[in-house]
Amino acid sequence: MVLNLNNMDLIELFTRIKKSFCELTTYKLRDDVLEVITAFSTLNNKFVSVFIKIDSQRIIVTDNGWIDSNAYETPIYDVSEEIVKRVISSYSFSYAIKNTVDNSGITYYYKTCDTIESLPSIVFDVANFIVGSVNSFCIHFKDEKEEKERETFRKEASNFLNMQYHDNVRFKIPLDDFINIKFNAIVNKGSNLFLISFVTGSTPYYFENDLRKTIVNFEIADKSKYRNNIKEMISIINNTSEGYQPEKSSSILSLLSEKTTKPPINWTNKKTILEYIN
Amino acid sequence: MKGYNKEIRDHYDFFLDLISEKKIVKSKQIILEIKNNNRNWYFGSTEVNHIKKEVPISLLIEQSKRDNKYGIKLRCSTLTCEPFFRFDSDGPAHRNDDPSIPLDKQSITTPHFNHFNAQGKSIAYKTSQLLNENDSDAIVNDINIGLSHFCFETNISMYNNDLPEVVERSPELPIPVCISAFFNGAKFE
Repeated sequence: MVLNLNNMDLIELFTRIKKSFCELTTYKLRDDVLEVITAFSTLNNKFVSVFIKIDSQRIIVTDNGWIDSNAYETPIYDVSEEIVKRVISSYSFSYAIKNTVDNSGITYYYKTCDTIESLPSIVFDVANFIVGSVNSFCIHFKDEKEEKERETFRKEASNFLNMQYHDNVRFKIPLDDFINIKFNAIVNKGSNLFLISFVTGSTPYYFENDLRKTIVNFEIADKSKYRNNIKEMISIINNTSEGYQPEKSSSILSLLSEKTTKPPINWTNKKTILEYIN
Repeated sequence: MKGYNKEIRDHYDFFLDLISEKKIVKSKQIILEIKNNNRNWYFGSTEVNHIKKEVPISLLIEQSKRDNKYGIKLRCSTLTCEPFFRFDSDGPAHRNDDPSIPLDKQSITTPHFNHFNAQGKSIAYKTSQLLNENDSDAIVNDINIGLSHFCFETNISMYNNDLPEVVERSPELPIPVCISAFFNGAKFE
């Protein structure tokens, strides 16, 4: 519709905006739970939902575990984990959001109130909290080129290992006794474990950081109660990455060679791993 | 984040062809098994053959153990790494972020399909069946009805024009029954 803007009443403009905003808010009834699909949207174009249930004379308003279960389908950047935690913590504090865990281990963020009069305000807080939290997952806090390099190599190397070892390989998992230390892959052959770490980087700085992380991870694995089961500790070096400068990183590469049980494998010679794990 | 899929934008005719052209799925049954990296989800997949082009197309199905919501996707690595067409039975509403669409029409609640416009932007839509409450409920509550609807929308069938079906790997896997799993035992102070 073409409007005659010259004659447009400004209050009429406001009325149209308000009507449009209000009509955006909708709902779904899910048994005894009301889902309010709010007019708040996230950076990845999802409208935020809050879930409302009346329970023992109070009203619970929650995200239904949708942040923690990634129902908003935000990208997952490992390097952003700590920043996202801080953002969520700040939003929780500002909006006085509590959290609890359900039977499947999913965290629910919520607020409660005792009166219907308070409900819209609580819904407003929880919806704002969800927008802030979901958006914090959406933002690249790290060098995009580095992220791409890391993700591409992780996928290529994982696919390669998957093709070779099928059900015997698991990705991004820790040893049970050091759950904070995750290896890119662990191949299981009978009682033998083969720990595999990928090393890459879009610049020498990132590449050397990855080298240091791999060295530390292998040092810690050496103290594991599963040490006798660890047959080999193997690193796969992305020698096609821009960060790979062997002369510059020679001292750290030498140190890595001391920590692995087999010489590091260059990606261009990746089939060497078949000799190490057969 | 309000990005565009450049590969789809640059090969838009190919993208449209992948959706509309006849595609054949060989296996009658698509078996769902617990995902290795997320025990809260079941996953199954099968290959789909484009009748005129030699391109790798995968039909991917995921179902949540928590609330039985499911997603069905088509992926073609020749075109782009992300799924180029998908169906979500539940989950957040999608915003079709386009000023030419009235604001109150920009929210597309689930269940909905997602595809891309010529600019490579993700766009959600509902079919007439999804707009009909009874049909929509049937699709949401029974993954095999949802799969049939997806196959119809994307021109997928078996050689004999039968449709594939989802089956459970183990008898304890509940597929068609949609249970109310809201709050799932969570205790609130």
